Amino acid sequence: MDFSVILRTVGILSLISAALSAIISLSEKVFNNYGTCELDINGGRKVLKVEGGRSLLSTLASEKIYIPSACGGKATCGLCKVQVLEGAGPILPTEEPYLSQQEREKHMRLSCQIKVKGNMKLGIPEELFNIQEFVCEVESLTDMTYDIKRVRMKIPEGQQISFKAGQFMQFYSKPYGKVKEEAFRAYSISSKASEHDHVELLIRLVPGGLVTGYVHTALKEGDKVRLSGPYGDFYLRGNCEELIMIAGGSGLAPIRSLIYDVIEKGLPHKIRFFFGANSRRDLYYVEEFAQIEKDYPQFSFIPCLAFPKPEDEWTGNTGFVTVALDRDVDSGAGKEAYLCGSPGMLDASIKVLKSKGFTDETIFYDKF
Amino acid sequence: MKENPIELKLRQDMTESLLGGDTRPLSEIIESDLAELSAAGLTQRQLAEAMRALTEKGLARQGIETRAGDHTVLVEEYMGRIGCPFKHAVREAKRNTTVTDGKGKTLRWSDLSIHLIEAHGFFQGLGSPYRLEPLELAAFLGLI
Repeated sequence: MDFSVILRTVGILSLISAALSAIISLSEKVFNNYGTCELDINGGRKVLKVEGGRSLLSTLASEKIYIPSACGGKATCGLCKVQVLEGAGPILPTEEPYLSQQEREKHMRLSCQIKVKGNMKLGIPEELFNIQEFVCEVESLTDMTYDIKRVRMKIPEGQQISFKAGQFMQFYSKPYGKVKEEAFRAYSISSKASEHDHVELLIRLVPGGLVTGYVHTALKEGDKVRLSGPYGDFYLRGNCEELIMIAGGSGLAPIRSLIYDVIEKGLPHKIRFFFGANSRRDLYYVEEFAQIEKDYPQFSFIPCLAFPKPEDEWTGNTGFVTVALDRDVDSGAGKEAYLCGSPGMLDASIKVLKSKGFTDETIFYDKF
Repeated sequence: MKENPIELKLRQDMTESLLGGDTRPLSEIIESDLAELSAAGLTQRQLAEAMRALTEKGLARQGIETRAGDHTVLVEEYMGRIGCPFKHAVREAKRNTTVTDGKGKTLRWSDLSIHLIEAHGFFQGLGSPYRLEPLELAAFLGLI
């Protein structure tokens, strides 16, 4: 084939593809330009003027309204549901799996999946308006066990944190090492609710975990980190005489905060705290809880080791935490249970509690 | 191979760590892995079942190494659950299974990895730290 014909053909094809790109780019500007949209929240309680085109989750976040989400807007956690009374269009295939019939009837939608394309009427729980974003300095990083770090952060000047003991924060990691993306995960607050200028989290290393890997390998004292919160409905109800607290691993975090809350407020509840671990190297805050036991006779700490090592010279409870729970708790009457730990431990403990007469109304745990 | 809009949305929502920089369309990643398996006379379900059996062996002694035939199994559970990137209404426990065979070779998978292989034929992208090479995994599990 003549060389000039090849050149002409390539030239024509390039022109066609450039023209197509221009048409696509222009049509995106024309068709995806939704202009200014009005978000009416809670029947006029708040009215926002926003630029359309982004997800409802990120649009609300840019207006400082933080909807809880554990997956970062990827439609895999189903936590970012809000009520959309008008303006959302039909339910999308990506929302389908997460919406029950009851939720559909209440017009609940996944805010990470629906785009703001026009005016919308929303229903958002009032408490979410109190959620703030913080850029905190890491004041200290402490190894509590071989795989759990305590991250203590200073709340910036001019801000303060107010939360209910038991609630959680979202902690944002930065790109590090080979990880090129920012990610965030939910971690319960372990510090006292009475402390408004600092916040502490207990973060256990998950092998291969994006955010826990960041905390354990890249984060340094003095670094700035982003947090938002507080979130969650895991907090003290206290309509009972005795609180049964159960935790494993970093699940100790919200329980510690709850215990201090009861003590600092001078509440009359008796507290029994069952803590499950494999061996002595997984125990932490033991001296602190022993001191609380001495100072507050209403509190007792029951550590249980499932697989103590000979060198542990362990003389306390052995077996899974459920063994001690089954032995020591006679009935659910006059009691509430507060649990935090791995899904397996939660499931096994809930089974024991229900066999004692606890109900869904007297058992509390985070579902993230 | 061109990605359809649903695939494109799935890819956009996946974390980089699941794809590991693999730029092939999802369907191509999945089809090429399943073709390898099929050529070896195996199915994704067989692999998932063998993986699940080892995880269940280790579950009884969570956090402690357990013998399972020629393998040593360690199952560790963490707080929270993790969703399926293919938008199944599945939220698997954050649970890692670390298995070492008689030759000292170690592989690790999560409950989500088992689901991704069984339900979607997705062994994760080339370069992903979580990727399990189908034939390597099959040999490790004693299936070939």
